[in-house]
Amino acid sequence: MNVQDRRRILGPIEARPLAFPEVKSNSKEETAVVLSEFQAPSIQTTLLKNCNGSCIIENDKTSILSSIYGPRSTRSNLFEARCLINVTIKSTIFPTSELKELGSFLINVLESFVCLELYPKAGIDVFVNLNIEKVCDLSWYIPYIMMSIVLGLVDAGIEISDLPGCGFNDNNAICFTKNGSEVIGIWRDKGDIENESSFGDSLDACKEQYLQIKGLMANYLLSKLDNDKTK
Amino acid sequence: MQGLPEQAIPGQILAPQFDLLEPVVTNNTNGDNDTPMKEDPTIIMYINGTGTKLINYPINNSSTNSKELTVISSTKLGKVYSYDVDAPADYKNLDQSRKIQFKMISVGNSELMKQSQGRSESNNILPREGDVIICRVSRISLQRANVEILAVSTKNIPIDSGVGTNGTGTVAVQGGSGAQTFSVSQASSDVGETFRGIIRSQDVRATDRDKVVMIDCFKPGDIVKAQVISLGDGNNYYLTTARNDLGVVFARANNGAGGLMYATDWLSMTSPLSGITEKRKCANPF
Repeated sequence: MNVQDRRRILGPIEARPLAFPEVKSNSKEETAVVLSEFQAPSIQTTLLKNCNGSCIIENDKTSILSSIYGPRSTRSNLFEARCLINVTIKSTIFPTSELKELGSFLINVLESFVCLELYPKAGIDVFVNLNIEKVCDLSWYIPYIMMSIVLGLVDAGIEISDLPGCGFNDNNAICFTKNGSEVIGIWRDKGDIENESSFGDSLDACKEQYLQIKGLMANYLLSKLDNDKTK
Repeated sequence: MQGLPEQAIPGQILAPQFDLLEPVVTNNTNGDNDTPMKEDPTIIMYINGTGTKLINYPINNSSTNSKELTVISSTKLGKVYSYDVDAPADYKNLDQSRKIQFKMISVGNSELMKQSQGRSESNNILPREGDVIICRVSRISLQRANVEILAVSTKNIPIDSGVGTNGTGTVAVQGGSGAQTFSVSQASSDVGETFRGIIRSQDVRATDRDKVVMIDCFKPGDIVKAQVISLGDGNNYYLTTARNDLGVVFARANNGAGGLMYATDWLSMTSPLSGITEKRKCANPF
C-alpha cells in the first residue's frame, strides 16, 4: 500500500537524518572470523524507561538490544480479534532488505508462541538494535536476537506459551519450542540444502544449542525472581 | 498430589487439569476401635487463571504409544497463586457421588493479583467488556461522543502508555503495528495513539434514552467515567454511562477556558470561581 505515515512525530517532510562522514581507521580490517560455537552472553533486562520491556544480550563483539512496546492501539479499520506483531531491526552493517526479511521471519516465529488471542484490537511493536561487529553472516546473530526478544517479551509481561529459542549451525538458524520437539522457523542465509543427512546433523546441533539457550534464559529468569524476592 | 511451585517461568508446567487429593486419614478416637477412617478421595479441578494456559502435553514420547494430558502451563514470569473458586458456569457434574474441588491457578507479580484473588489481569491493560474506564471526550455530534480511553480501572498502566501523543516515543519507519492496515482518512482525525471509543446518545443514561441531547451531557475535553459494553469495530470501543456512578467526573467551564466545575446535581456542574453553571451528565461523586 502506497501511503505515507502523516503523523507529526516524523517531523516535517523535508527533514533528513544526520549524516556523518565515515571514520577511516588506520589499522587494517581484520578478516571476518567464522564463529560457529555458541558463546554464553551476558543478559540484562528492564533497561529502558520508556518501553514496556527491554533486554540486552552482550558478547565481546555483539550487543543486541530489544525493546517491546505495547500492547497498544492499532490504526486498523477492521476488527482484529488477535493482536498484530511488528518487528523492526536496525543495524548499520547489514542491508535493509535483509533486515526487513529477517523482521518478517521473526514475526512468523513470534506469532507461533505469543498468546495473540489475549490482546484483541491491539498491536505489539518489537524493536531490535544490533550494535555489532561483523563476525559472521546474519544467521549467526539470530539465536541472540531471538533470546533478546523472548526475554524482552517476558519483561514486558506479555503472555507467551513457552520459552522458545534458536540454534545456529552451518548457515542454518533453526528456531525450536516445546523442548525441541517442534520447529517453528528455519532461516538460511545462502545456498540450497545439499543433502538431507547434513541438514539432519545441523538440526541436531541447533537443537542442542537451543536447549543450552533455554537453560540460560530459565536460569536468568529464576535468579531475577529470587532477586525481586530479597528486595 | 504434589504441591504447586512457588514461582514460574513461561512454559513451565504447573499442574494437571485434574488431580486427586489423597484421602485424609483420621483417627477415630471416640470409640473402642482405633482403626483409621478413610474418606473418599477428592478430585481437584484446576482452572487456568491469568498468566496460565491449558495445553496438551505428550506424556509418552514413543510414536507408537503416545498419550496427551491436559495440563496448566505458565505464560508469565512471577509467583504462583492458587485460590478456591466456585464451579465454572459451563461445568456439568455428571457423577454426583464424586467430590470435586475447584482451584484457580494464576501467575503474576503485582499486588493487584492478590487483591483480586488472581482474577484480575495484572499487566494486560486492554479494555474488556464490563470494564470501567476513564476517557476524554474528543468530539461530539448529535448522535454520539467520540472519546479517547485514558485508563482502565484496576489495571496497571504500562510504562509506554500514551506513546505517540507527545512525540517522544519510538515509531517504526513503516508505522509499526499500527500501520498494518493504515488508511489515509484515519490519519488526520486524531493525534493520539490511545484506544478510541464511542458513547452513543442512547447509551448516555438509562431513562429517557431517546430524548438525550448530547451537547447537554458532554463537551469536548471532559473527563468521563464510562463502562465498556462491546469491543465494537476496528476503530472504536462502545461505551455507556447509563449508571449513577458513571458520567462526567471532571470538566472545565466555557469550553475549557473557565475554571474546574463541581457537580451540583445529576444534570449540572458549577464553577465556584465564576458561578457559571453548565449542563452535564454527572457521575455520582460519592
